[in-house]
Amino acid sequence: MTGAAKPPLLICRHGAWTMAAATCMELTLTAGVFEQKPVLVLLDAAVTLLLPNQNGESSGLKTLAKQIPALELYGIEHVHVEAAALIAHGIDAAALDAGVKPLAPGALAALVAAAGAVLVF
Amino acid sequence: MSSFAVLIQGAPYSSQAALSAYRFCQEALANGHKIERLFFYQDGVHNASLLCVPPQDEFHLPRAWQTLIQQHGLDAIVCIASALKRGVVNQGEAERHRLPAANLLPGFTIGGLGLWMEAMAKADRVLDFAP
Repeated sequence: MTGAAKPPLLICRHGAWTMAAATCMELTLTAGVFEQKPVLVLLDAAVTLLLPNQNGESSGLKTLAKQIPALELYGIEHVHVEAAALIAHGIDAAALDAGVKPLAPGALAALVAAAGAVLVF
Repeated sequence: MSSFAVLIQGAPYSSQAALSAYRFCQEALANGHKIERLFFYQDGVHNASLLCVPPQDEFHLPRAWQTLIQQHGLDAIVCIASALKRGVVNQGEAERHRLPAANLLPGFTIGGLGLWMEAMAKADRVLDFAP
């Protein structure tokens, strides 16, 4: 993983109610604030961040899903998601926001190659 | 020579992450590389606690970090949000939050996540030691 001017790639593999996902979102938003143009990828259970009508109040946790639509305000125009994980979790790709881009098999390699640093959660 | 930004997310004695990070830094410095910044994040902030007392026949990781940091003049940042949540505070934060004591090991500095972003941008390589 090399630093310099290339954008950081943040990959989340954990579901919407995990500390790993919260950490990934926190770092993604912070990188956005510092204009590092972070690239966010949701794999496996992390695609549950895209499910609507979530509320973490009863669990005493922040509702991370609410941060997804706000990413644009941080200069993050796209969220890359694993197409197979969408299917596995019963999420209709066509119903998602235009900023959500399903990743074809093998496409992750290109994102990793283009990244300055890769952080996996 | 390369420069490394090192993220430590594991608490001492809970996983191998923190000890692996320490050993990596030790070897990198011994081989002439530069540690741009150490950033202790999430449970990793426990590495900076003054109150850790492992048994005498076990490795004292927080004290080892402190020695490494002081010997090499390393920039060792402890994430302020992670630290406050977990009860690791310097004197200033203890006073601000009216806590009875401070427990940040000398050599470590409390700081924000922006310092990690800066280190990632500056370093040749980024390493993340997570449980």
